[in-house]
Amino acid sequence: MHQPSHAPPQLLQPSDLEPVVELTAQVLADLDAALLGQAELHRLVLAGVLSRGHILLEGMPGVGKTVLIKTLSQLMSLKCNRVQFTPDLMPSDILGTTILQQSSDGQRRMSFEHGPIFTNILLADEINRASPKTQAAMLEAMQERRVTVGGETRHLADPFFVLASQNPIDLEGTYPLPEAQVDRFLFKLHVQQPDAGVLEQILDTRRRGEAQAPGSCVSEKRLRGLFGVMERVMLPPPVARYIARLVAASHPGCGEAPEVVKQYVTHGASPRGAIAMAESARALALLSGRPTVGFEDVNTVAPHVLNHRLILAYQARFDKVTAQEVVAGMLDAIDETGLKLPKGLQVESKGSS
Amino acid sequence: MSPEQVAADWRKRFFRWAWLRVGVLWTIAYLLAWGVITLVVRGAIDADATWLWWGAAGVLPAWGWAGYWTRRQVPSKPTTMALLDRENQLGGMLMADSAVGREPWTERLGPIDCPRVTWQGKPGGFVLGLSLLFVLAAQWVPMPRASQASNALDVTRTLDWMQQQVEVLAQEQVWDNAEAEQTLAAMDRIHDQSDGDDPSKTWEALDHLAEQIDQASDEAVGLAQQRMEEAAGVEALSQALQEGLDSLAPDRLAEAMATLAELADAAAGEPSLDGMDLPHGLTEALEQAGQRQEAITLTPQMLDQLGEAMAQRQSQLQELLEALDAAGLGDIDPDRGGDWEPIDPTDLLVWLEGEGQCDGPGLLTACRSLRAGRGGIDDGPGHAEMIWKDPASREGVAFTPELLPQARLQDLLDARLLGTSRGAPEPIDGAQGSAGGALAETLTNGGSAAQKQVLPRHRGAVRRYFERETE
Repeated sequence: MHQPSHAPPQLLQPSDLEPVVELTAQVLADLDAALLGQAELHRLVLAGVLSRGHILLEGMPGVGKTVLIKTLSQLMSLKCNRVQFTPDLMPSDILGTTILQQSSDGQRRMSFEHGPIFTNILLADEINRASPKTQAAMLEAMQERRVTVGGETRHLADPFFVLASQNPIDLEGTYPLPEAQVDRFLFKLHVQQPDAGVLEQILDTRRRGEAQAPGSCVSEKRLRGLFGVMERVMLPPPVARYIARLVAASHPGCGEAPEVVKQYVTHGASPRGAIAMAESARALALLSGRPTVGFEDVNTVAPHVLNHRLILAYQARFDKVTAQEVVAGMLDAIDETGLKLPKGLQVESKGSS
Repeated sequence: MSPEQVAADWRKRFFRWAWLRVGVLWTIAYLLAWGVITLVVRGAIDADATWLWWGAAGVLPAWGWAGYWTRRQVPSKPTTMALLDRENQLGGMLMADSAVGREPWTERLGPIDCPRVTWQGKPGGFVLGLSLLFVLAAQWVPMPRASQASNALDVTRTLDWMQQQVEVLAQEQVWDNAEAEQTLAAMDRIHDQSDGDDPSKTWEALDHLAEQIDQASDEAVGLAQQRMEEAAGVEALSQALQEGLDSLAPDRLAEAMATLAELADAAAGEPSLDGMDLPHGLTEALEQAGQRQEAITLTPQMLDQLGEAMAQRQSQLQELLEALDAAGLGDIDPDRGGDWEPIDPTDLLVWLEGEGQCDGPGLLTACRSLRAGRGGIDDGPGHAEMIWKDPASREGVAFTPELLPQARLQDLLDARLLGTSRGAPEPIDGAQGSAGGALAETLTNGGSAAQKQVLPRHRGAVRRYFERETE
């Protein structure tokens, strides 16, 4: 039966959502087993993958960035390539190049040698060590999921993720990613150092640091099914309005911008940031087993979506204020519902007292 | 309870608290405005301002308008649902439209808590109380009687006090009604024309009125005290004559009777007040006695009646003095109007029967000057007749203010610079230099700044000083 086009989309029913929740819970459990003590990081990485976004991992050497990405690719049964970015890395080393080949019959012809970017998951290790020219070669691939070499455009595999890592120290000889490049990453996640308890657990269960092989595997079909369910997670209008207000408030010229933004931010997040926030919030809602996005989902992803999209003023460096602190100030200052209570009136939940 | 019902219930709660808050704020603003208007009106008009209490009725429209205004501030239903979703941590479930198949999920949600709406109303209540006190104070605080002129001079208290004095004078018949009304009308004119820019005019007029009142009261007090003494003399003489009708010589008795008639007539004079109501026969007998007829016209009964009438007259005059004194009027001499001792009738009779000269003026003096040391009966040295007159008029005696010339320093302070000349100063024709100081009487001379003129009496000493032999 044909439905009118203006009919509202139906919510995911519990029966549709339960298998998905079960699958994602299994993936998260495997990730947690492979990399100890990083449950929240795994949750965000999986949300990024479900959002089809690229993720920039920042952390000290040896905290498990590469292990996480390799384990994720194994879990997803996806093809994974790793590129170690160095200053002498050329764009053709990533995208591929056209070479002259001679066949057995003696004929010569130009053939395209695919670069490592032709994969599902590209592990760009220490991406900030490559030259700007090489970094720029990935712009088209990350946004439009295709590359153009020798005047010929070639589509990348679907799905395609770039999971890049960079080192916050030892910055000599590095090339900070330009804003256009950074903006293409859905998340910038900070991989924290594990605490002593986790380190002890690692020593007890790992020999030579090798992670145990994942116990499950998500087929490409089931992965595409996950993407399909993601499309049906509903973003309620008040939450969409909240995301829009958050992104707008990241600009110091906005009327609703809090004082911390006006003081420390010169340029706020782009519309791409708002889209990234909505998509990642959808993914978090899905991981939580809900058919709708709540304010708490937005509040969870907002720091990771916005922290690399804010261009801070010199005053922030002078006062040693980080982007995370600015975003935290924004979340504190902006009411999710947009409710403007008169002075003196307060809303208290019954549990709060 | 469905989420929609919870949302509706919360919106009602919000409306009640917000209405209370806005109502209190607007009531505070209204009370402050009402109090200010009350103060201004009470200060501007000189009339009863109790109708200002009707301003309390304006509180009701303020609350009504606050309710209307608050209703527009109540969050919308979607916003309320978003609030409930956030407070119950439902992950956007309540924000999804009910038309998208929310039922399977809402059944799993369980009961939805309705968040409380509270208002920190203590500061507002405190300010409301202060505003209410301000309004009450504005209604009840005593205001100086306003005058039509903005620069009016408030002489109300002075005029009130003088009005009481005038009323006493009229009540005690010192002044007749016409004179009292004329004075009151003058006081009203002074009140209306009192001007703060020229207060001396008002104070001079008030001083003039006060002087009139004082003069009238002083005259009344003096007369009253004189009449009291005369009445006391009549009383004493009548008693003496009552006992000496048979013993006194006829010519001396006639002289005494004539003196009695003259004294009685004087004692009944002004300030007569209610006057003396003597029996007709007594009045005729007194008139005949005043004519110094040899026939005795006053019987002992008449003398007794006259004594009683004079005693009543004294008490009447004493009441007058007390009334004036209570009103702050008159300079009452305690020695004269107080506890003085009247002449003893027995002594008087003895003196009448004596061989000394006892003519009419002597008897009058004896009866009018009743106290010792004041020219009464005294056979010792220094006996002299003392005549008491009316108080001297102050007219022409009062000090006439004279405007003294201003000091020279004040001239300098008030001087204005008209211009500056670059030329040498020129003496002004007729102007004189300084008359005092160290350089007075000095003459300019070549070779010295000043040459002092040596007085002739000093020339010898100067010469000796310069001609002394040096060692």
